[in-house]
Amino acid sequence: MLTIREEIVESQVPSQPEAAPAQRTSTLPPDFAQWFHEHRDPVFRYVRFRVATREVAEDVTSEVFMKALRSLHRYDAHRASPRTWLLRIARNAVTDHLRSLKRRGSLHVSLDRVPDLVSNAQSQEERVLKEERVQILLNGASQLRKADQDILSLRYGSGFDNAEIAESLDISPNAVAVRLHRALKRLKDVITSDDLS
Amino acid sequence: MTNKIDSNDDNFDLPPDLAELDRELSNISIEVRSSFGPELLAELEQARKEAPPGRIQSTRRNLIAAGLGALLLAGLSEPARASLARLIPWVGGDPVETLVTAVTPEIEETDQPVLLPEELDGTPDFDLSVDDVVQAPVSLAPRALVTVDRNDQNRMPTLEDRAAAREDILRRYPRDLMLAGIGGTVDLRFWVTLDGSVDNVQMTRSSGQRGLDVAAMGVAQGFRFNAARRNGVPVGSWVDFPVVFEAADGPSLAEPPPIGDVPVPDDLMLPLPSDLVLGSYLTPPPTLFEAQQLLGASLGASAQSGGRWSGQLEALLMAEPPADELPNTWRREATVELESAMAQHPANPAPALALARIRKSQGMNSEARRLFQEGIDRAALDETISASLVAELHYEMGMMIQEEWQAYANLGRLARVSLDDALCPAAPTSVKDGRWADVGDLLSLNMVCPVELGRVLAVEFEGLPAEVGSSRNDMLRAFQLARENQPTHGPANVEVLLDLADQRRWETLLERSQAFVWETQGNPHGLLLTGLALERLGRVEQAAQRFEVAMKALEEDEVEALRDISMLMVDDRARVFGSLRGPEKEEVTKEFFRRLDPILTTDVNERAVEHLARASYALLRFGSTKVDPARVWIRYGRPNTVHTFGEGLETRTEFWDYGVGPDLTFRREASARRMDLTEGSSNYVDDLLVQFPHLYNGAALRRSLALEGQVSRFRVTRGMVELEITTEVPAELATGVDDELDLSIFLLDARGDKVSATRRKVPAIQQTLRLRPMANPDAKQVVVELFSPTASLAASLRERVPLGDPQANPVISDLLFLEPADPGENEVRRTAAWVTPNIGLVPESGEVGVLFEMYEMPVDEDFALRVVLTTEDGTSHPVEFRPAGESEYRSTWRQSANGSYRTTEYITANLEPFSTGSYTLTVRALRSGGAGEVSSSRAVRIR
Repeated sequence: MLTIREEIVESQVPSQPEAAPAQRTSTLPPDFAQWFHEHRDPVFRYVRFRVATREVAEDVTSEVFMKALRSLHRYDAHRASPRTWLLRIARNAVTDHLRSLKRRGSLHVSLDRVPDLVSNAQSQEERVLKEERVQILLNGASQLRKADQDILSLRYGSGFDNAEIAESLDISPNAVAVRLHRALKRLKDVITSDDLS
Repeated sequence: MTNKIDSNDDNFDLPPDLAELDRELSNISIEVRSSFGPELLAELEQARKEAPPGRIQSTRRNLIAAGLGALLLAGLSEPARASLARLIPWVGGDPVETLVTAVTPEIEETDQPVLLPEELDGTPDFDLSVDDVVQAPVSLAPRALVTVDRNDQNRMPTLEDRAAAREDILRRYPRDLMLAGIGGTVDLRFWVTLDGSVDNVQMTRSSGQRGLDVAAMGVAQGFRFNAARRNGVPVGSWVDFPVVFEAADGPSLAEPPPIGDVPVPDDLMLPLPSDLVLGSYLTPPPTLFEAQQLLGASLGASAQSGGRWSGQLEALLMAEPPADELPNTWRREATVELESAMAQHPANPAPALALARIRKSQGMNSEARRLFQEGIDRAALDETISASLVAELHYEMGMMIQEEWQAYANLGRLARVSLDDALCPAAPTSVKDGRWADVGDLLSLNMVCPVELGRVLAVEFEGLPAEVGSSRNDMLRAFQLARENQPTHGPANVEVLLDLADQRRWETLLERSQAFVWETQGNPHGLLLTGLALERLGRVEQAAQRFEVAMKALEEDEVEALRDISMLMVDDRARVFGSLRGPEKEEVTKEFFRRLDPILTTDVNERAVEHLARASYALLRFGSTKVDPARVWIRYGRPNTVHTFGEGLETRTEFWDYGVGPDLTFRREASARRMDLTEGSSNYVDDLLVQFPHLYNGAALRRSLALEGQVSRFRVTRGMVELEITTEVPAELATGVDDELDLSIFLLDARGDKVSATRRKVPAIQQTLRLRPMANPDAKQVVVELFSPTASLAASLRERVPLGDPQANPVISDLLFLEPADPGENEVRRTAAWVTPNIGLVPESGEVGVLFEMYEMPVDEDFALRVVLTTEDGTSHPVEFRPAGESEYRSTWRQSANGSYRTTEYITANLEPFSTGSYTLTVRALRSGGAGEVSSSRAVRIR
């Protein structure tokens, strides 16, 4: 039957195998790795602005990049920039998340869930005040319609300027200014009416 | 890291109050946790690793696939042609080739356990006083894992109704053990959710009595708690809860019954004891008798001898008109009678149950649902109604909700505008207008431009929320209620478990299905689902064992369905297979899978087990393995995504996306599970079957990667072949210098049986392996396999072995690619020191050394050698080469045969003029006098 004359004739063992793992490079497609580094923070901040806790934001962001990685072959550079594409996935992921929460009936942001949003507080007192205010702002924002939440999150979450938002939403910068203005107005109304009630 | 935007960077002219708001919002600084990025990156890389190792294919395989494709294309109609052309890159190999496709990473939705502040003072802090409990024969004092301040803002979970819980425990106390005076304590740990229900019940200590353990696990599922609170807000919490079954005082009525030799495992993940399944398992007591009695009581005289409904109680309860009745008249009269009985007996659930089933049979689903609820409400009023009957009512209610929910499962729509962007000129344009894309258009687009449609669906598909009142949660709740009343209710348990499978929550499925199997003492459907979970978790050996045990307890037709592999075969073979019986069929099945075993090193055949896992799911989910969706599922596995269209229509169209090629599309009635392939997909699937009958996905943790390398065959004597194998340990298996890999070389005969196997251990580090096994003429295929027990991953390289006809004259060996070298004079032999094989990769603009042998060359005949490089599209280009010992390239070289048995040749081929890509390099030896030629080829990649 089979005879192995020399099973392993030669085995080229690296002289310092310990060093090998450190030299490993990313296995991600180069484009994707670059997008990840460039857009991870804007995507996370966009998501964080719309969901209740940092943990959830991390989960949703992770899902966004997982989805993007899975459907990378479907990305078409002619149709959207990587950032626009990623943010579109993020929008859908946030919508899915909020929808699942809605069924469980807890969209509310509570006070102990916003400490990551007020890191720049000078004193404990200021911190408490800021936390309360952020809570009010986010809860107010979550009552707005989706398009308003979207634009507020792109601006105040991702930190985009009007031109960048325009690109992401595929509308003109002027339209962004108008929509942002209206969204702020509606947020103001919501917060004020909540205060009164 | 924080962000901050300056609102002055835009033309942002805001009135003062909004400007203030803008400033506030801009000042929200979002911190990104510093380790989040690296963690996510690692996850992505892990997911990427689990994805296929690119579409790396040898040129030869492409040629085979392209050839097959060309043959098929010649004889097919137009739409099928488009679809097959799309498929070819997917096939990449022989029709039964083992392929690996992407495994979608599992993203589970779980509630984060919120632990309460740790202020342990050693005493359980719980507002259920122990004094309340001592009177009862059972203990109800839960012990919290963590305790908190005693105030209203922070408190531990408390039982909603202690008396009810106590009764539940008594009710579940196995009667024989109670009578025998056998008691015990079962320590449980479970999660009390925000809404106070119990989840994730684990047994932390067994009572030593299986019956008590089962009862305790079952009863805990039904407990209702007031959820724990932190700062006044309900939170989930873990609770330790001893369930005490106290035996009645006085002497035992009987000796303890033997429970079996096998000790009760305190870990449900342990292998099942062999006595657990004896061909029978615990089933709920039949409810028909009880329901008949209740119905008879409610109908009074008319059900008695001589009455209108005499002898028809079963027919009424089954909603099946007797053969001698006019069905519609019968239903009408029954309705009147049952409505009247309902009015007269407000606490009797039976007439409501019977009427609900009649309504269901008439398709009046919402009315049926209302009546099932009515039956449930009535059953709650009468303490003598058995838990089994209540469970049945909840289960049927769940099935009603499921039908309604089904209409919204994966349902969504696609804006028509997004199709305008789809850039598919070949797609027929619909004249219809409206905001949403038409299903017919989508079906056409799917066949003509599947890639474009896939891209649009991935981004633009708008999922619709499930209709209020028929959500998945309502359905699960109904099944859960059925289980609470009758924990061994088979169909309700199976529905809940299938839902976990749909969500790919394999760990949870494993845990729950094990508990179900345990509770029912071996429900075979539970075993199938345990097997499915284990298979998906890469624990293939254990999965195989579960399937084997399940087969012993399943009905004959179910066993037949699971063992059916006809859907994996093309027509003729399927027919032959269908006609086989008993051991013959078993032997054919074994042989079928033997050829497909993806990892020969392991004792289990992963492909066969995956088949059973898929067939189990298909059988339980679709009710049969013969219907279209089941057959597709068994062939190709779970689709990556399902998009369903048909909002507002009576039919739904499901698009199953397998990542490549057109989606497979099914049509069903809105509320039905039963569905059929659409006509277009049906044709496409038939085409697919010929070319590509099935697909092995493997589990994330038990896959076989392609091993790169070259296998060259050299003749030692007539008939005897020596293989020169060069390969590299792939990065995925290089788990570290402390780990070892199993390196195996298998020789297979024509039937795919192993004729020999040799194993060695090698360090799990990236390294080049060079092997030289010998093979005799029986061997038709060699498999080199590396298996990492640590990563549960394999990589294998398969090649055919025979080297031409042993009698042929002359013969040329395979080509052996080497690092280019200067052999000097008189040193051309395969074992020379300078012979350094590579794995078939040549650096761009480089040279490659090519060594080959020629045997049985006729004396006094010359050979002119030529080297040719062929591109993937079939174009050939001459290659210049340098024979050993020469310094100049040339395009031909004449070699005189010296009459010896063997000559070894070495040339250096110049690949510099060629760009990167995959090619086939061929060495041709043209015989003098026009006596033909012999040639040898090998795939080469220039990079």
